[in-house]
Amino acid sequence: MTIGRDSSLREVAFEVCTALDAAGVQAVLSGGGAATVHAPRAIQSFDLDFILTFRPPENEAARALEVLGYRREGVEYRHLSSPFLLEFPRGPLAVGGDLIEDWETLRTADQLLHLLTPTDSCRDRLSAFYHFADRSSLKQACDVRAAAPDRVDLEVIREWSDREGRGEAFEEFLRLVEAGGIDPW
Amino acid sequence: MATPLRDDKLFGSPRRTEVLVLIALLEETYPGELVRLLDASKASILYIVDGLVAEGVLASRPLGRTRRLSLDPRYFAAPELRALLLRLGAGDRGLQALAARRRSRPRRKGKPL
Repeated sequence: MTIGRDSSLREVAFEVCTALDAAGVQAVLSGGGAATVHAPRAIQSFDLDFILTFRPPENEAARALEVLGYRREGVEYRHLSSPFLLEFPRGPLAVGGDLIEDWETLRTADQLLHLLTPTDSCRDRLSAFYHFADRSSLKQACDVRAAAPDRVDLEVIREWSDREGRGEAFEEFLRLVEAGGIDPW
Repeated sequence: MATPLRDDKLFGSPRRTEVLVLIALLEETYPGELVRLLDASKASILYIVDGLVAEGVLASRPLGRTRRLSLDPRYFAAPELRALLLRLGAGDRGLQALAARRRSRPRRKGKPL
């Protein structure tokens, strides 16, 4: 398929990741984009942040994106018709002080998508809440946990939160999780 | 005011080093304050700041018509970077003096500075 006005974030993410992979670029979806893939009914991001775990000559990645209809504007890539923006934040892939070396790879018949695991997606969202009091990120962390309760390891998140010095904020997250999350406005 | 970091290219250029150290000292600032304290051009400060944001080292958050700048605590080496910058700042009395020009504690509206 080609990327168009009606393509979903998930479809665009698969297209981009597959095209980059074919060009020899390993890119892992993080941020709100990964959270949206994990909890599509609750979250809708329009930003696709890919962290490159292997960076080849820049031209190859840019060429692969151009073929998909993306053009570079400053630090982001805009599509001719799709509202989803691509960004490639500087790596390494990490949440707070923890480097991430394992991620999830979803596959269809002929496409793939590397993205943060639900646990790391939660940690990624919580990082913005912990450091910037961003409550929309707190809600997204709750949404990811609600969408994948068996795949979000709260103990891993608790230990990481303690290392980040945010044990108290984690307790607030936990209370919300136990209360069923934050209602949409 | 000249500072010892005037010749320090550790972070790419002396001005870039000064900006980073000053942000570490101030903890949170905005582009206009950096322009004023460093007596630099707005264009040069914005160029440096935008580059550091793109590198993931600085966080930029909108607040009304300005944007708040700080070291990005989500940067994976944030504690180590902050410690290095504060160490550099400790050895630079000029930058310390610039940072001390800022008054950030609460003050009742209308009371003379």
